[in-house]
Amino acid sequence: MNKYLSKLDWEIRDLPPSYKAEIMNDYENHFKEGLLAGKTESGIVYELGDAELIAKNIIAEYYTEHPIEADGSEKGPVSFGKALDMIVNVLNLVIAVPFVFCIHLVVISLYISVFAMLAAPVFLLIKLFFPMLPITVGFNTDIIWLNVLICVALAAAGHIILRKFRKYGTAFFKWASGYYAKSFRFIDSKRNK
Amino acid sequence: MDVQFKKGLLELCVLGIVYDRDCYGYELVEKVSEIIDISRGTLYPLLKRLQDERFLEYYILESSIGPPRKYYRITPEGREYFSMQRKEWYNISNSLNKFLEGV
Repeated sequence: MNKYLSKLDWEIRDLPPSYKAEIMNDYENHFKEGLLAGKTESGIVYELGDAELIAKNIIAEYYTEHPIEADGSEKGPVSFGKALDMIVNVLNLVIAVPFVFCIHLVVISLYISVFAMLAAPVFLLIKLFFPMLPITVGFNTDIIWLNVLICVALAAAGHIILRKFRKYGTAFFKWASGYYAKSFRFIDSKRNK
Repeated sequence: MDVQFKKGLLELCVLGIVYDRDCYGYELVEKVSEIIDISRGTLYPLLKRLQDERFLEYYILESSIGPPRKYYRITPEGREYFSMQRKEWYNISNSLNKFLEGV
């Protein structure tokens, strides 16, 4: 009996407490009356029907009486599942999204560094023709060939790095924009209600 | 027989049973099962719904041997609804029977 009742109670847990309490009371009393009438527990369970199916039936009857509005909002108390959903979404926006955004900024700054490396020879040339400009390339030395070497090395390195990691960068940006879109869609759906 | 099909018929049974005499929950459930073969568990939410729709009301009487009993009583609106549904059932079943005989 308790196994059946607990299962039933669990399956209808999302219904409003007052409705649930009254219904559960009915089933408890049904068992008691049945036992008084001389039936066996398993006989009563059999006659009642499969707990899961009965639970679905109870839920269906409840929503027949208390329909959900077209835009998805419910009249009356919000179920625990909906509340949990809301908490997860808020936590996502407040904690996870800023975190992802920080990583996003790091990735961007890495790109900037790589572009700087690629641009090293260009800056060197500019510096050669216009020494007055406040450009620092490589080491602050007058040994020109050393600077040239360094710049070429930087550019080459930048090129290799870009080639190797570009696809990861692109994949990340694509994923991140999808992630932001999903996260903020939550706010939008709430605002429209 | 499919549960959905039976639902309308169950309302007729329940209201018909308490039409002349109040019954308590368990008693009502047992009587309905004698008329239509159904999982008894589906009846309690039905009773709740008929209550909320004001076709039934209940009062509680203490029992000396068992749990307090919810006695169900039909309301005037319930009687009206029952008559309407019964007429509807006669119409449909006659019509359907004629059709089925011809198939």
